Amino acid sequence: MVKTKNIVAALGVVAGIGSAALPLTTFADVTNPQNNTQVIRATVENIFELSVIPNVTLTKTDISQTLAVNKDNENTDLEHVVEVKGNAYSGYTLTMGSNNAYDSLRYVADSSEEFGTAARYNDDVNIPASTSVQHGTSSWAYRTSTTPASDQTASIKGDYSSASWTKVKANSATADTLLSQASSVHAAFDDKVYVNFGIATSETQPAGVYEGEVIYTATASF
Amino acid sequence: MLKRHQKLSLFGLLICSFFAFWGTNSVFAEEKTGIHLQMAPSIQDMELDPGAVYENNFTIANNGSSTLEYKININPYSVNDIDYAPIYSVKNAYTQITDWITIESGQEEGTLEPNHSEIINYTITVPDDVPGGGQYAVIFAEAKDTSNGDSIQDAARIGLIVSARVSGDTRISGEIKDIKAPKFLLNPPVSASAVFTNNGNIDMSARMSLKIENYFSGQVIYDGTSDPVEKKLLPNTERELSVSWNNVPRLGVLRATLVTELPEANDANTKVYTIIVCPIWFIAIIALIFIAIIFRIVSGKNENRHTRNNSKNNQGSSEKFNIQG
Repeated sequence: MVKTKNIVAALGVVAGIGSAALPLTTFADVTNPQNNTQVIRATVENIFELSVIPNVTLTKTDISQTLAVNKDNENTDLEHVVEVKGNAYSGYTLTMGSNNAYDSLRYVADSSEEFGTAARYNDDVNIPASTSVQHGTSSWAYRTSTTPASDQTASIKGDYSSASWTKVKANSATADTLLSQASSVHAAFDDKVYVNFGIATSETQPAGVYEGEVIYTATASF
Repeated sequence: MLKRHQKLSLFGLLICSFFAFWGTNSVFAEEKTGIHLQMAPSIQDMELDPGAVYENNFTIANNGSSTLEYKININPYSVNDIDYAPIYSVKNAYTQITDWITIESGQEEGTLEPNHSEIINYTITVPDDVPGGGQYAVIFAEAKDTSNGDSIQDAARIGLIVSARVSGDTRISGEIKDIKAPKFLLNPPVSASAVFTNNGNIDMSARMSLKIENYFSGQVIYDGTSDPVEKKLLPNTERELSVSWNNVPRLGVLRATLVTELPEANDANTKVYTIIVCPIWFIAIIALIFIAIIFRIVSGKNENRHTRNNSKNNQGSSEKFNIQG
């Protein structure tokens, strides 16, 4: 009798934990299950999300917002984590390019002027876009990876000179495709790409702040 | 004083109560920095009549933790070459709809708080004198994270493709060409490709599928006909489609059936062909065997010739002996 009571008590504890683990909203109404068929129709909305998270990799103890670079030190710290997800039946395409007519990093001559306006910049001394990031040569470029730069080995992260860099394109050119999913896949997607930027300067590059703007564009595929 | 089983029951009840409260109250908000912009839907198809006015809408949402400033832009939608990379800056006869779309006043730009959404209304005013056919545009919601002070600023835009057919003189015409189907493979996969051309003035579907059978037994080992590769073709464009199958046997003879279709243009092509799958190591073995056989034959001939020469020499000696004898 005592043993039976103990078993019942133990089962009560187990049942209590089990029912508490269920989300309360899943309890179904089963009051009239017989001969009562109902058609349930739902429309799943087609949604699409693009997220861009800038991430300065923690190779420096001070995470300054402006990437410091000089003739002796290139900078490959900035990385954008770009994610596309959704249930667009037709797949998608993600592209990236400059958000203006300039593919270079523009020298900020007057920081009191609004970002992107002509009065803010002196375009005679820009850092040009390039297909390489070489020590002693003013250039900037980007490379993509499926893993974050912070997870990569030092040799990959630091070996900017022989890495495969891509030139940022001005908005007058066809933007580069970073990710895509074919329409034949017909599945929900959640894809991520890491876009790492590299900047180098020559000895004669004037000191100061240089700015650029890239835009990530996601559209469903035809 | 409670007995042991009573204590256990009470304990179970307490556990249940604890999880009940904890389960309903525990909402952990994850900090999501950067831009998280959502749009629904991603494509809108519609039929338009000249001279008519249409109203429609879409929803944008900020799924991040930062306030976003957004603006709505309308761009033409076209594609670049055979690989169909999208282009949002080239206008042509099929992107006139870009000029017909108007965003509701006051909604062209704004601010989206975190975890908030906005329904954006727009109107399409179709001119009276437009030709029939396809029209394509993309409505972008562009957002910037103004809290980001990096040297390289980032912006994100997500697009709603507006795909329309204007009633009137519509023309459906296309062709399938450049079908490539390799018949000899060293390694997987089995693949095939074709170029589809849309010569009409409305978009159409292009479809492609592959079926693989064992050449000798006829057994179907791969059937892609139930889920073909299908893509849209915009007017006056060409597009390359390809199909492939990776689980090919390393060695064998296969029969492939490749079907390419332009359903709206009533154009279809079925190509049945034989594929020989033969890895390089097998070819090397065959070659070695062949060389060995040739070598054996040649060396056998040389041996026979040597033997005949020897017997001739012996016969000559005996005749000499006889003569002498």
